Amino acid sequence: MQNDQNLIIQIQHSNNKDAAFTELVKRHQQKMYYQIKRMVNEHADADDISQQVWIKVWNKLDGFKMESEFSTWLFRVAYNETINFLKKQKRDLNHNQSEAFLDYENASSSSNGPKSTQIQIALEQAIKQLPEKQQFVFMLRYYEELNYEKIAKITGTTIGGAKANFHQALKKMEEILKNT
Amino acid sequence: MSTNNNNNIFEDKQLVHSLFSSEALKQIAEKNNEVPVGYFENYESKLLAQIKSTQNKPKRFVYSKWGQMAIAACFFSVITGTYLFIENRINNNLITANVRLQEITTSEINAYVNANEELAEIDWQSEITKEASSLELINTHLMKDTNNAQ
Repeated sequence: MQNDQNLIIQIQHSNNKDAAFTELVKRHQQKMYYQIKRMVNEHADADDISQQVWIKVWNKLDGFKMESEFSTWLFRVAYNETINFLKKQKRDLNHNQSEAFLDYENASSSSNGPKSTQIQIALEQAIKQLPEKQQFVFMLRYYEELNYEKIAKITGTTIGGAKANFHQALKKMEEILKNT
Repeated sequence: MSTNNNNNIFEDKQLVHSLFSSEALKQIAEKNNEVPVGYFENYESKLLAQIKSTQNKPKRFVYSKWGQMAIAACFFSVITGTYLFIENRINNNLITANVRLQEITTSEINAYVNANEELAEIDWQSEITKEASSLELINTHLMKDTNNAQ
């Protein structure tokens, strides 16, 4: 089985490009999709964003210098796309937090999927209230179990910065839960 | 390094579980892992087909509402400008023609005609004399030639 680097070399040399790209997508799509979905909650939005990410990857893969792992680069593109989406969504909602909060609460307690508990809803809302970067770092560390070096590269910060983001996120979530 | 990193992850997870319900965190993960049935099946092929279709599409420039209005305004101003320019030129020509005819008096016209007639006569007479002198020259030459021959 070929590693990511070999597949990228094949793509860059237009040697069996389609098959190599398909293999890359197959390997990384699920992890990337789930990370995006944790941030945006809706499947349709997560699907749109992940498609945009792959289109960008396809267009920019020729210039990828392999200075970092492919998965790190992919998550960095996903991070940028997700942050842009969330900022646009915030603008569109006109910072109407109560409306967003209500929608989110309804979505969280909908009958589809596993039954949500009060603690789960409260925790989800606490996570949603975090700044996007802290939220992304928390998800990468807790759910994807990535090391701080990788998280730092993805979010464009230092290792210390990534650690600080994670701990600030925990502190903030704790405060939010205490106040609810 | 890897063990150290794993330990750090373990420590961080322990910290998270000490602060928040691990069951709730698990439920959040489960909820986010829900996808429509068959979503990941052949995802890569569908994605590649979509990328190819977007690349094959000819590039179309889509202008915004303001862009479209600006283009329409440009067209309108060019057409209106051309029409006004042509219209203005025609009017100017008619006016100058009218002004000129009105400005010239009958006496001036008569004087112009007479002067031209005189000039024409003078020219005509000089032409006749020129012709006659050249004919005379030819005749004298012919006379000389016949005398020499005899």
